[in-house]
This record gives sequence, structure tokens and C-alpha cells, in this order.
Amino acid sequence: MTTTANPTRGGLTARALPPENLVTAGEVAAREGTAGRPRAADSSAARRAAGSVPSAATGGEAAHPTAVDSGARHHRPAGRLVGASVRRREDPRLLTGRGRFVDDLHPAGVLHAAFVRSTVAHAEVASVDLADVLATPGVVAAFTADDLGLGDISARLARPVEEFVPTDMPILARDRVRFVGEPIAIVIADDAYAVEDGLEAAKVTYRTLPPVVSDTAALAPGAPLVHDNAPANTLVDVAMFATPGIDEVFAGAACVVRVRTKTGRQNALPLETRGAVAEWIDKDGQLVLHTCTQTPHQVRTVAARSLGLDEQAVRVVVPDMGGGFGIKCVVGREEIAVAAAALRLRRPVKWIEDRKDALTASFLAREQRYDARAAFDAEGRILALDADVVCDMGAYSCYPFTAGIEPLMASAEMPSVYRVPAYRVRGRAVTTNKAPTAPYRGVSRPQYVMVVERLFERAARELGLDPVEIRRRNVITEFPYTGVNNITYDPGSYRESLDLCERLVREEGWYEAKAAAAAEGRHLGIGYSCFSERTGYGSAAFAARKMEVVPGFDIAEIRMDTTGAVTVTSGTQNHGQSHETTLAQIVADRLGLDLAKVRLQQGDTDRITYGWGTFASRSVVVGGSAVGRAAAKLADKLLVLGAHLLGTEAGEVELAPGGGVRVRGDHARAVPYTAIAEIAYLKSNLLPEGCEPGLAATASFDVLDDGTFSNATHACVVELHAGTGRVEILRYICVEDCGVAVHPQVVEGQCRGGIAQGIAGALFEQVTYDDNGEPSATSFMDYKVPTALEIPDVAIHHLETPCLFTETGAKGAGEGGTIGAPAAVLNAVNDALAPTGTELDDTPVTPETVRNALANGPRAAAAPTGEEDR
Amino acid sequence: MEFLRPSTWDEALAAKAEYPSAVPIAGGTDVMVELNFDRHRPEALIDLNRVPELHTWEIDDDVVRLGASVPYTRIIDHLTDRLPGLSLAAHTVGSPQIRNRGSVGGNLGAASPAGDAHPALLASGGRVEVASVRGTRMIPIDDFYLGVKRNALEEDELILAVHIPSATAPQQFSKIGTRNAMVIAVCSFGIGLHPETGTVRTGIGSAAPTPRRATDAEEFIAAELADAGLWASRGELAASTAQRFGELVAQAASPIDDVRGSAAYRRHALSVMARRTLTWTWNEYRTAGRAAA
Amino acid sequence: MTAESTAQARTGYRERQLVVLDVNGTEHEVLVEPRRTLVDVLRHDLGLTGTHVGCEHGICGACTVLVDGRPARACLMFAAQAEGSAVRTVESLAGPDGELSDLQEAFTRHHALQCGFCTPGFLMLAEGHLAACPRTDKAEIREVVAANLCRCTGYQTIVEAIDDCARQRRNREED
Repeated sequence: MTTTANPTRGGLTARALPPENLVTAGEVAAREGTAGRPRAADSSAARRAAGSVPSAATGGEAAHPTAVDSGARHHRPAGRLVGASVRRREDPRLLTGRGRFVDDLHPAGVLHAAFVRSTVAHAEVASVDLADVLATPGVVAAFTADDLGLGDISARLARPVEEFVPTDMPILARDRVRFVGEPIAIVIADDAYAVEDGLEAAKVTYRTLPPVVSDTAALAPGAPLVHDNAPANTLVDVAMFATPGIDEVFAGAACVVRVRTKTGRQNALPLETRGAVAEWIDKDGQLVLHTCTQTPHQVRTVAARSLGLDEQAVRVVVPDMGGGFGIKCVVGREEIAVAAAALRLRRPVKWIEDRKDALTASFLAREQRYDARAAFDAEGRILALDADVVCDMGAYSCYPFTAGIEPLMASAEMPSVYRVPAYRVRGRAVTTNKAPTAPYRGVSRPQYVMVVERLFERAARELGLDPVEIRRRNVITEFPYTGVNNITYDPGSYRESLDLCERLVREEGWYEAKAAAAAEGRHLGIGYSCFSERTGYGSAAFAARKMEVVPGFDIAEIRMDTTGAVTVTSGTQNHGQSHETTLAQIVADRLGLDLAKVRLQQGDTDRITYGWGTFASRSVVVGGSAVGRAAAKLADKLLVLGAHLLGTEAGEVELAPGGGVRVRGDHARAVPYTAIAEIAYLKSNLLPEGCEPGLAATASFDVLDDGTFSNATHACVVELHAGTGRVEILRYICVEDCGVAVHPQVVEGQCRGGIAQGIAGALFEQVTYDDNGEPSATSFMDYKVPTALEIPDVAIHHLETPCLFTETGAKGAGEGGTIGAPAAVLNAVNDALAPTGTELDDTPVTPETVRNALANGPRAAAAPTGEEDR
Repeated sequence: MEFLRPSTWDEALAAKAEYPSAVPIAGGTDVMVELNFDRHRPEALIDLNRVPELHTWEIDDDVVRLGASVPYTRIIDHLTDRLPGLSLAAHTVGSPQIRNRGSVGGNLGAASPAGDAHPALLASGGRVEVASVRGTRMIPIDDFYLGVKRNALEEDELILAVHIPSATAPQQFSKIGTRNAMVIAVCSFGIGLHPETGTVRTGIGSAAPTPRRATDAEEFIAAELADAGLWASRGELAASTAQRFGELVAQAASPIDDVRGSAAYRRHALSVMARRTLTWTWNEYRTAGRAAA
Repeated sequence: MTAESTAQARTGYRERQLVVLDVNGTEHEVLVEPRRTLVDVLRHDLGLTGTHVGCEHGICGACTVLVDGRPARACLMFAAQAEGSAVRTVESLAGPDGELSDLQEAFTRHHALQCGFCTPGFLMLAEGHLAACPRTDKAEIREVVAANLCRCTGYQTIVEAIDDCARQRRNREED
């Protein structure tokens, strides 16, 4: 690894830290030869079979990007694990009840914490009286912010004040509360029941202020201010793009369509609520904070700063996690307060959020309003896109992403998979007296994809074009493609996925079924969505957002022990994505090891050098590449030592399957890793001159420029039931392309789970507030999480356009399902509604709105109504 | 909190007399939700699980005497023939876990307008057998529901059983909610045909402060059926009659707007359910007649 | 209520009682407050943390255990109410050496779990259903699965895993 040639290729750059890990020019050239068209791998069953990666069978290893690693192609043994759906290594413990989640931790003498929370949406706190709390049997302590000296969590963008108003989120509210459920004091008792008794005894008095409960109310002239320093309740106001002459384009266009929509506020809703167990360990001089977070190092930073400790005096440990979906990738004020209480009391303190607090007082997402227009020529080619995006971010900016997370994502990426020549966008984050927001799976993309896909459907209708054909005329087909939004898109299968998806819908007979249903007066509709998903945002992409804290890289360390087994660390953070399996597959392939010989370690700031955790579908892209590179570096040393033991040169040897080094062309001359490890550790006197003892390597990976885009086309077929307005999903098809799937079954799991969450947002889930800012959905009775009876089976078909710069050719796969589903469902619903002359653009689409549309649409009387559902 | 665990009915009545504010608990499916959400902190709980007679049922003279704690699962398994409407309602209760523990007595005790058993009980008719240390009395189901989560029990009384007439003709139960098997309904509707009295009984759930009957609709359909001699002829029911019946049922409701649905949607849904269930039960009645003939 | 009586009522919450439970075939004696739920006793007094708590109001089903063979929500039962019943938790499914049961095998084969938090509840729900209805079919399984919430999988693979397990059990019976 000595070459440092410029790795740029068509705007796509891979960068590793430190610089000696740069991809070599030769490697890039080798990849160019293979990066052409996507390959259809349409039988998921075939791909599940171990070792059946098509590319591996065709003309040797160089045919596949994974075969090219850092100029050391001889590292690659046969019998690849990447691409095989091996058994998940997480499963045995999770299936037997031996997983260890945060609420399973029970240190001796642990105390239980809960929070006194605001019962009003907006008020000055007049008094907090905890005397009766302290008198409650079992209560050990109760603290306000002042008692613990707690300050604020402050998330910032490096933007001028016209674009970004800095606000702070107090760890515990001090003089002001800004939403129902905001924590005011922490109560600690000797068991989880006594702490509830204590909460009941708290007395808080308020001087209420008028609450701001919607984005429109927030922006209304003379509205009360949620934060006194944020005029017009606006935290972010960025006009990121404005193509000169765009108004003239609209004025002269053959067709202009408009979509105005409001999307419902949602809860990411991991089945495991948030929680933490904090304990001061005298022996180590450390506060150990066990918390279910997607970003342990970020929690450590905020905890250390809030508690006035060096970071080395805080250890954040992540147990098994029951999902996250983004809600756990921001720093929660409660986990910091629990840490402060444990530090003060010098006793372990546990906090497990209850479901009511999880629904009302954690982090929410997705409540956005769009006013979007698109101009088309007479042939259906898009000429311009113009959008005003207002995101209701609730009471506070989340750390580290800020209230800019949703409007900046929507602004940057809204042109989607289409060749949009002119683009203008204004993105705003407004603050309201509601629970704050955090990133949630897909972040704005489920919304803007829905808006863009609705614009195309509407234009198709106006122009008399087929809705698939109009997309076909506009999707990006030449790569790399640099869009009007200054993003360069790496190769994908936008057109191919669209074609295949439509073909599948036709072959299954859904168009005939729709016609037959219409003849009977039933309401069937077919809807598509075509989209891409930027995955593996590197530091360049986040820096472009002007975040003051810039996530992006990942660092992996690998150590081989004397038994020839390896431990590899990753700064990513598994919470259901199967990293213990997939990242280990990558490492095992690099070193020719059995999977059982590779152990992944995550989620411990004392053991992991640094990392940004798991979000934004980054783990396999960034984390997977980092572990691959660390393994490749270790392989270099193994080859040197192996050659030394075999009495030859490093250039003459290669890695042997099963874990060893052998002479090329003379496989009988081989040494196992255990023999190499023996001289590395136990007999270092036998090491070659100048070679350091030990078998360890560290590598990092970052993505320069614009990352890599997974893509997919979804198709949804619905039937609307006239009597009740129920939307029944009859069929759901997904054609996805996330490059090389490290573990196809896991990719399918991510697709299906994501689609379920997208359907949930399209049809079921919503957090609403009354005029006083009181949340209406406080339990699962009112927050309608869909069950197996609402979520359909999903047929998944794969295309494979390998990523050019990740170690495996993989792109991210975590969010795509969620992104595509609302658009597909909405388009299907509107296709079914077309005869009535009504269109529904707001989500969730409820039975009531559907029933009203069917009954009262402008052409409803003309539309036949047949047999109703039973 | 006192946790009282009587093992006989007499002990249970004595406990309730001593602690009138005590909350009786059997399956726990209603009470525990309130407790876990801290909406309710009773001074005492009376666990009725050990009282044997609450878990049994008897059938005599075409009346089923159903112990208050008999879980829904057993109603489905054993009493579907005699109590088809209640059995259908039991099918729609929450989940297998709740059906295995929840009971009609629990529903009656909580008297929530959303309880699934209520519309079926109103549609079949029946009496609630309640007792205290002072004695036993029967409360007609029509007089049982007094207000939101308020029933006709005195504070020292417990529900022992429900006496429900065995069905003599088809019954139906229908429920609309975003989810089929979960969560409380947007609204629900029960209907029972009673050819022996020439009446049709109804029950509305989740669409008024209490479960209630749609008496105007019942009188309308009874008159229609009688005037046309349809009970005897088992003739076809006019679509317009079913339509009108649905409208009258909807008018009988006084629903509210909430996050689960607007009042307007609830009324509409009720009319649809009433129209459909009337049509289904009537068609079933006709078919049964033809089969018998 | 006066301040004094409030304090007395609260003190009442701290009184404990002896509860005898049969869990996974072993008898346990625990001294707990009467208001302590079965799921808290299983998890925190007996250390059987495989049973999870997801909502505490009987909807999500993560706390599902078998009570006398039938699935029940352990968050909606007081521990005392389980006296005299046989309680089974997820810890009882695997063999003594940790060998997965056929149901657990089917779950891993079909990728019916991701984060795994809801999984013990689905396993016990399925275990109860398959014991009661060995002739079950996929539609019925889907209805049963709808009793619990999963946020990761989209449910399809859970239904497929249970169906697969049911078929295999039937095939073994016929052999």
C-alpha cells in the first residue's frame, strides 16, 4: 500500500484515513471494467444459497469489485462468505432469552429513576416542590437541574443567523417548559414502583404561556415565541438552490403541476424504549453509562461535557438494543441526567422509559408541509422543480444533527432520481410546543419522494401519459450524473428497476385485475415509486450541510490472538442490522477464516477507538469498508511473517483458505495462522529483523464527495373498500439495488421492515396534539402501529450495481424500504380514486378520508359503486 | 395497597363489604392497564381468580348462566352454538393473550363504552346477577349501563354471572377499527333476531357514553317485518329497509370526535355495519328456514 | 384524604407478601409487593430476563408467557395471580445444552428476528398456538401473529417461520 495516486474517477472518490490507505489507481482502473450495467439477480432464493455469487463464478475474482483489495489481490482466498445468507450469529442468544438489553442489567444496589415531567405545553416554571417526593417511602433522592448543576445540550450548524438560530435544550427544564412531557426533575428510589409513588407527590406550579401547536400557527404574524431568540419561530431557513430563470421556465412550460401536502408526525417506535444504567466505578475512576444508543461516542462527548469530566472518565457501553430507527442516534437528555445522578449518589441508577413517555416525550419525526410545483414539456420531460418545505421540529434542536436535519435533507436531495434541469427550494425548520424531533429512518426522503412521485403522476395524468412512461423519460440513465443540486450520483439501476417492476406487475395480471374490478364498480389502484437513497454519507457530505459536528469516517481495529482467531472493532453500532454477522463475513473473507474465528466488538467507548455509530445506512458502506481494510492490513503482516517462516519472500506467498499462508503454486508449503501468531507473541525472538511483535492493525474509511446511492422501484396494488374506506394492500413488489448484498437475507429483512414502517406512515400512524398542545396518542390504543394483518407480504427482486469504492461493492440498505413505501401506497390509492376526481396527498390516509373521497368526490356520483367489503 | 385473595364467593363478598372502594380483578386485562398507566391507585384489589363459581357456566331452560370470569376463549370453544353473537364478539377481543384471560364480567365491571361484550349482550338480552353480603339481585342488561365507565352496581356488590337467553335465530357482531384484532374499536354493533317475540335487538359500542340499543331502529324493523309477514314467509328483505335500519341505528348513536375517528365517520360506519349485519342475519334466517323446510 | 392517611396508604404499598410460583417447572418463593407484576417478578426477582416489557398495557405482546399452556400478557398479571399455575417463559424452549428448539430454528432460518426484542413474545405466542392448534394454517397464523407488535421484520418472515415449524411438526408426526 504505497501508491497515493489520485483516486478520483468521475467525481467519485474514496478516501481512507490515514492517507496510506488510499485506494490505488490500479484498483480503480480494475473496477471501471466491471462497473457497467446492473446485473439481474431476480431469484432471491438463488442468492440465498451459500457461495452462489454470480460474479465470483465468471472469469475469476477480478470480475467483481470485492476481488480487488488495496492492490493485494493475492489476499483473496476462494470460498467467499460475502453474498451468502449465513445463519445470523446474533440469533441464538436472542432466541433463547439470553440477549442482554439495558433493562436486563441489574448491578448490585441499583436505584430506579423516573422524571417529573411538564403537564403543560408552554409555561414558565413558577416553582418545583419536591419535599413530598423525598418523604415518599422508598424514594432516595430527587434533583432539579440546579441541584445537579446541569446545563444544556447545544446542537449547532455553522450557518449565519439568518439561516440558523442557535437554541439550547436544557438537560432538565429550569425556568421554562416547552412541551408536555418535558423533564423537570429526576426522582430516584429503591425500586421502580416506589419511584412512581414519588412522582405522584411532586408539586410543580406554572405560569402558562400560549402554546404554539402547528407550523402554520408558528409562522403566523404575532405568534407567541417558543424560543425568545428565534423570530417567527424559525430555527432554520435555507434557500439552498435557485436556478436563474426558473420562473420563466414555469411560465413557458406546457404543463405545470402542484402538490401541497402535510405529512403526519410519527414516532420511530423501537419496541425497546430508551433507557440507561449509570454507575461510578471507583477502581477505574470512570462513570460507566450503559445506554441503548446508536452513537456511543456522541453520548460520551455530551456526558463528559455536561458532567465536567474528561472523556476518558466516561465509558459508554451499549448492550443489545431493541431497535432504534434514528430515535436513538441523538443524545437524550434523560441519559445525561441519569449519569449525573449516579455520579452524585455514587450508586448505580437505572432509567427505563415507559411507553407513554416514549410516545409523548421522546423524539418524534416526519411532520412536514410541502408546497411543490413541477414544470414539464409536452412530451413529459421535467423542466423545473420548485418547493417550499416547512418541517415542524417541535421544541428543541437534537444533538448532533440540529433542527436542520429534515429541511436540509429535503432541500439537498429532492430532485431524486430524475434529470431536473432547474431547481429552487426553500427549507425551513419551525419550532413548536411539541416533543422535539430526531432523524427517523429515511429522514425527509419518504416525504419528498412522495411529493416528487405525486408530481410525476399528476403530470402524467395531465399530459395523458402512462405514469411509468413519464418516469422512464426522466430517470437518470448515464452515470456518474451530477445533478442541479450539485450531487454526483454513482451508477445505479433507476431505469432497469422501473422496467422490471412494471414488467412484474404486468406479468402478474394486475392491470387486468384493475380493469375487471372497475367493471364491477370496485376500486383497485396501482402505484409506483422510483427513488434512490444516498447511503454512507461521509464527512464531506455532512460538512456540506455545515454541521459543526461532522460525522463520516469509521475506524476499525483488528487483533489476531495466538489461536489464530481475530477480534475486530467497529465504530458502527448494531441494533438489529446483523453487524455481528455481516461485518464478520467481510473480515472472514479477507483472511480466509471461518466465521466462527471472527468476533466483532462494538458499543464500548473504552474498546472502540472512535466511531460515529449506525445511522444513515452507513454501516456496511463505511464500517464494512473500514473492517475490510483493517483485515487487509493485518493480512499484509501475516504474509510477511508467513513468508519468513516459509523461508521465502512476501511476494511469493498468498493467504490459504482456512487460515494460513502458503507458497503460491506450491500449496503444500504452508503455515497456519497459529504458527505465525506464535512468533508474533510467544516467540518474538524468532521475528524477522525490524518486525514489531503482535498481530494488530488499524484502518479507517471515509467517503469523499457524495457517497453512494442505492435505488429501488416499488409497486403497490390497493383496493379501497367503499363502505368503510379501508385501504387493503393486495400486492407489494420491490425491485431493489443496493450493490453487492453482503447477506441477501438481511437485505430483504431490511427492505420488508422498512416497507412496513413506510406503510405505517402512509396509512396508520400519527401523533396529534390538541389546541392546548396536549398529545392525543399516549398509548398503543391511539398510536396505531400496524400488525401482521395490515402489513402485506412483499415480493423482493434484486438488481446489483456494485458500488465502486466500498470494499465489498455494497451500498447501504437500511432505509430504502421506508423511503419508497409512502409514495407507492399514495399513488396506488390515488390511482384507485381517479374515477372520483379526488386526490389525497396528506398522510396518513385514513379510512375516513378515503370513504369521504369515494362518497363525495366531484365525480363520485358518476363513479360506479359495487359490492362493499365485508 | 391491600391485595385480597378470597378463595370462596362468601369471602369475596365479605372483602368487598369491608373495602367498598376495592377493585375486583379477574383476568386483569382492563384493570391492569389503568394501574400500569398510573391513572388509578385503588386502596385495595380483590383477586377473584380463586373463586370457583365465577369460572363455570350452566345451561337450563334455554338460558346460559355464564360465570363472570369465564374467559372469552372458553366462550368461543364451548358456547358458540348458544351464544353466537357473544362468541363473535369474543373473537374480536384484543388478542389470544387477552381472550385467554379477559371475561364478560371484566367488561361489565369496567363498563367502558368500548367493551366488546356489550353490544352482543344488549342484542341478545339478559340479566346480570350481582351479589353482596346483603343478598343477590338481577339487573336487566338494559338497565346496567349508567354512564361513562359507570354501571348499576352498588359499591359493596360484585358480579357473579350473566344470564343470557340461548339464541333462537341468527346473531351478528361487527366491529370497525384500524386493526382487526387489536385495540379498542372505532365503533361496534351487535344484532340478534328474536322470531319468537317478533323483535330484533341491537347493541351499539364505542359510539355513545354508554353501550346502548338503537330502539327506533328496532321498532322500525319489527314493524316492517310484521307488516310484510316476513317472519313467517322468510321472504327477502328490501334493500331500502336495511338502508333505513342502518340510518336509524346511526341516529341512535351520539358519538364524539377523537383520534380514532370523527363522529361523522362513526355514524357512517355504524349505518354500514347495521345494514350489513341485518342483511346477513336475515339471509341466514331465510336459509335456515329453507333448510328446515 | 388527609396528609396522614395519604402517607399511610403509601406505606401500604410497601408491604410484601410471599408468592410461590411454578416457572419452567421449578418452584420459586418470592417476597414481593402485591402490586408487583408477573413480568417484573420473572425478570427482576427470578432473573429470567428473556421476557421483555414493551408497553405495559397489553398491546405489544413482548411480555407474552404461557400460563397453564396458554399465551398471556405477563404485564397484565400480578405475580400473585400466577400462583397455582404453571408459567413457561422463553428460557424453557431450548434444550439443556442450549440446543435450539424446532421453533427457534425456524425463526433463525427464516430471519424472523432482527433486533430480537419482540422475539421471545412471538415465540411464546407461537408455542401456545401450535400446541393448541397443530393443524393450523398460514392465514390463522397471521391472525395470531397480529396479536403482537414487531417493528423490524414486517411480520412476513415471522408468519413463514411459524408455518414452517407447524408443517415440520406435522410431517414428523406422520412419519
